Amino acid sequence: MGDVGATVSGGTGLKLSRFARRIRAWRGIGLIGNIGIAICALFCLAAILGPSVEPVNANSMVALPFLRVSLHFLFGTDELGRSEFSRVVVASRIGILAAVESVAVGIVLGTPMGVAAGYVGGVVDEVLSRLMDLLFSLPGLLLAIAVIVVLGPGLSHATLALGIVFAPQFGRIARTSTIEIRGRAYIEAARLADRGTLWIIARHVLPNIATPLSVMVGLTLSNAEGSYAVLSYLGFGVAPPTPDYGTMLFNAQAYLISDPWLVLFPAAALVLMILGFLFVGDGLRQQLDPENRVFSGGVLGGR
Amino acid sequence: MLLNQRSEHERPKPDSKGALALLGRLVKRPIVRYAFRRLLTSACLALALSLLIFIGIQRIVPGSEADILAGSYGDTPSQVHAIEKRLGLLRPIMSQYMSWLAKALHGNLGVSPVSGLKISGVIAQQAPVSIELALLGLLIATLVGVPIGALAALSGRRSPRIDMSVRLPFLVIYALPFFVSGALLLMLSAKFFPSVYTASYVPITAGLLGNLRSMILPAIAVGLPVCGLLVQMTRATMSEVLSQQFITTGLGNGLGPWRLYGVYALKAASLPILALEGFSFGMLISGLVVVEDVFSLPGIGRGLLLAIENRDFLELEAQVLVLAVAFIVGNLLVDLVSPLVDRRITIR
Repeated sequence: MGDVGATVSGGTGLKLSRFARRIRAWRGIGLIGNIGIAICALFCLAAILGPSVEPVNANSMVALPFLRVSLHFLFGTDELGRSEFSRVVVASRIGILAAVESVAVGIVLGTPMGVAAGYVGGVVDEVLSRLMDLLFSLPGLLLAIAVIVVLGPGLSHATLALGIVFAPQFGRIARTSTIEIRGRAYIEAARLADRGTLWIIARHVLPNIATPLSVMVGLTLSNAEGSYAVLSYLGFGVAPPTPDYGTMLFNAQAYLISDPWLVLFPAAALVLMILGFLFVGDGLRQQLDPENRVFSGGVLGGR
Repeated sequence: MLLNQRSEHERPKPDSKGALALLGRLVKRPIVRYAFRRLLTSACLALALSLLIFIGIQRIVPGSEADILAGSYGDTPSQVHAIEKRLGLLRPIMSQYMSWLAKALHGNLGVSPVSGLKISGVIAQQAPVSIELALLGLLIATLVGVPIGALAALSGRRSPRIDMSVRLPFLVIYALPFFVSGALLLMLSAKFFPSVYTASYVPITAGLLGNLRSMILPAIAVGLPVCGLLVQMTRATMSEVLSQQFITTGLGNGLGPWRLYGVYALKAASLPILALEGFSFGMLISGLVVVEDVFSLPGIGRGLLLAIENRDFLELEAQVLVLAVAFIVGNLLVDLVSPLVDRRITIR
């Protein structure tokens, strides 16, 4: 965010403290972006503090099943008599972990591919670009399921599968941004100064493609959260006793008509989380990429 | 290079020179060449994917076809070996792939080692369900999403507050995972319209009304998140079109709002909207898998999950391939139709 602060305060000519610059940068991501930050902060807090402040352990059967909403059990109890509120709070851990992890895998796999393709060009570019096209030509969920069939289910495998789905998206953006700056004078200069390719990439290319990549990160996080929930709903995610929105919703579906709140509470939490990521992502996009060049199909679109 | 300028001059006139000359002139037209190239790359993509899926499932996934066949009879390793030999599983992978591909192109996808059914027959049963669900979902998403997106763009020029109040609900709808929208629809219909939805699938041959009653909720569940996406994207595209000068000119010339916005502006926005429909195909196919599972519809998506559960990888291979080819064909169609919709498009 340091970069953003610099561009925002640049016009005023004032030397702002680091903290003040940061505040200004946040203001730039707009009302919706700030609502998103608030939602994300809430979930992060729940994820970090959840297990230590929850009134009842999320995994222990503490009461009769299907209790209604009460002061003692805020969201009632689920089909095994576990506190639904505790489970919804603690499930935010797996949600955030899965989203962040799969996006991280996507960046780690995709960025080197894209930078190599864009910087080296020629045959390398051709091969890597076709590979990315190939990955793109499978619908995301199908590719993720195919990877999980090969690796087996579980949280780390599901996030790895999603990372493979997201990798070509990061790869494409890294490639086009690298091509854009490849011919710039400062890179020529570094090359003439006999700097190694890796040094140039680390010192000049990566910092310059960081902005479009971080826009993409913001936009991918909400997608990752939703996709992971789908995978865990289908039974490819984290193993059962651990609270997780996807599996909770799958189990609750059998009691859809008789006990609808068992679906409604985790569903609301999940959708809120996805929206939080979506809002932050779009706020970041408006702030860092106002002409909408990175992701032409911006979900919120416009200004 | 503008397409319509060129095609005016080079339109082939019917003459007596024969079909070959006509074909030769046709091939010179950029649109035809573009179509050929697009067809060729799509075919290559499908071929590469089929190889990838074949190798992935035959070589990487533990548990071969022979193990499954042998397992049900409790055979010894030597018998497993004999079965492997009979099925040709000991040959090099490329030669296995070639013979599998040759059969697959003739519509023979093999026999499932788990169920003993012909896989092409299974797919032929499942495909109509998925195709109907996808088309209905896309139809609902387009019929609801595009007009609302256009209206949001129009009203957004006057008041950002109205704009926001149109967009926000659809943003929430976009964020709904397919299984959540499915569960909510089931819940609402059970509460308010218990007589509309029938929970068991009725094939279209058994009557259109019964079929629609069993398909309407799943179709809405598939269509809703896609609709949310279309609203946001149509709004963005339309607001860009509305800021162009021909809109101002049209207003100045006294064109009615229906004609100006409904015809001219929508026409100018139709190409990006079409591209967005292509963009939503991936989402649509993901939706099929999940929604068929939620509503227990006997389509390809649910069949795919069942095949994973039964470790029926020969069937899974065929199902993944069919969905992937459908995705490629869908995108191909969008690319081929785009130059016909908007002739200003430049063909490279």
